[in-house]
Amino acid sequence: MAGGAHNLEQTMETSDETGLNEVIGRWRAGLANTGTMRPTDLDELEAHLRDSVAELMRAGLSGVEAFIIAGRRLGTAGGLTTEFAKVNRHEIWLTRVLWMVGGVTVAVTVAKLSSAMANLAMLAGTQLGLKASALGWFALGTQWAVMLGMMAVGWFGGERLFHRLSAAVVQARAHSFLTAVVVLVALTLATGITLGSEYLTLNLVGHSEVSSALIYRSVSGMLMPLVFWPVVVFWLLRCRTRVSVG
Amino acid sequence: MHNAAMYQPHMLSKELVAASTVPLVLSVLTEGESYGYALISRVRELSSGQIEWSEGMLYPVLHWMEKEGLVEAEWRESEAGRKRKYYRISRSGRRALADEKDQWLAVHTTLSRLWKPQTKPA
Repeated sequence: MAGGAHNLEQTMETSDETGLNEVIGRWRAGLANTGTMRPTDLDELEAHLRDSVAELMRAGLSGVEAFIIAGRRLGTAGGLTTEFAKVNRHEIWLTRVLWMVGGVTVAVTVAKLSSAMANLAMLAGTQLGLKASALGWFALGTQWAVMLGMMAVGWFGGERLFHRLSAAVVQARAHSFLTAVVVLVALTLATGITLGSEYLTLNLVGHSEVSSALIYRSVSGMLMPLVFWPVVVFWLLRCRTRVSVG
Repeated sequence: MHNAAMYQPHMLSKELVAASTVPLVLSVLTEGESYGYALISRVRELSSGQIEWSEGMLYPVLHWMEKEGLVEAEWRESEAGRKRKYYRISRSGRRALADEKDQWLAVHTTLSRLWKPQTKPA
């Protein structure tokens, strides 16, 4: 009997501990979603909350009860957000820009890859002996299939991809220079792949004068992102020095 | 907003809380390094509960003080194995505190002189 009671008590303690970790996890995620706090800010607030909870539990409260009171003492999400936003203004702006850069990179890469695949389909189509409108429909079909395929990946893997991208943004803040290089190389390569495939297609189909003209477009197209290199690199380096001070 | 509801007549006004946070933090840190939760507990204890901060609001202030070079901070593991950020007063923090002290004492002295006749029994 005594053993049974002990077991029950132990089970209750464990479930309280699990419940506590769960509510703290949700509380932290809620604050993280406001986008105004750095991961280290959240660590510091969580350490505070846990200290406060531990003290209240020593006074006899259950884990979840202690959490409710400790959370109230720490402040509402609205109040905390306002105060942290004031000191992290620069950080918040940088994160927003990184999300934009990430979005542009993903969108451009998807668009460029699908048109490169369409060009390759045209190439394959000519080898299969397709002519005129059949060739056009084949290329169009391929492009849409690739686009829809990528959209399906985005739709079904959305949550996981979003978390990946979030993690990438956190990493990108720590390595701003590397981020600038990766983004610009990705954009340059995506442009290069599309225009390169266009060149190959036109050349094989027989429009060699158009395809040679395209080389210049390819080169200028690939150089376009290069124009932004000094600007982006300078800007990100400046962000990095400021952030490390803060 | 929830702050206003927390005020009791004997508690410090919002304006005074805002003005006194930096000198209070610096003064507590002259006793040795500390972290957010312990800082709040110390101030509550010393003020007999009259100075009650909305706890989370202290951290943006601490981060601002760190950026201004008034305090130095370091992440370390506590006895319980929890990661904690410890704050220490810097040399420029001590200078800032000396300035604050002069100013607060000037206010205190002036008010004390003005209030003296009223507090004395006739």
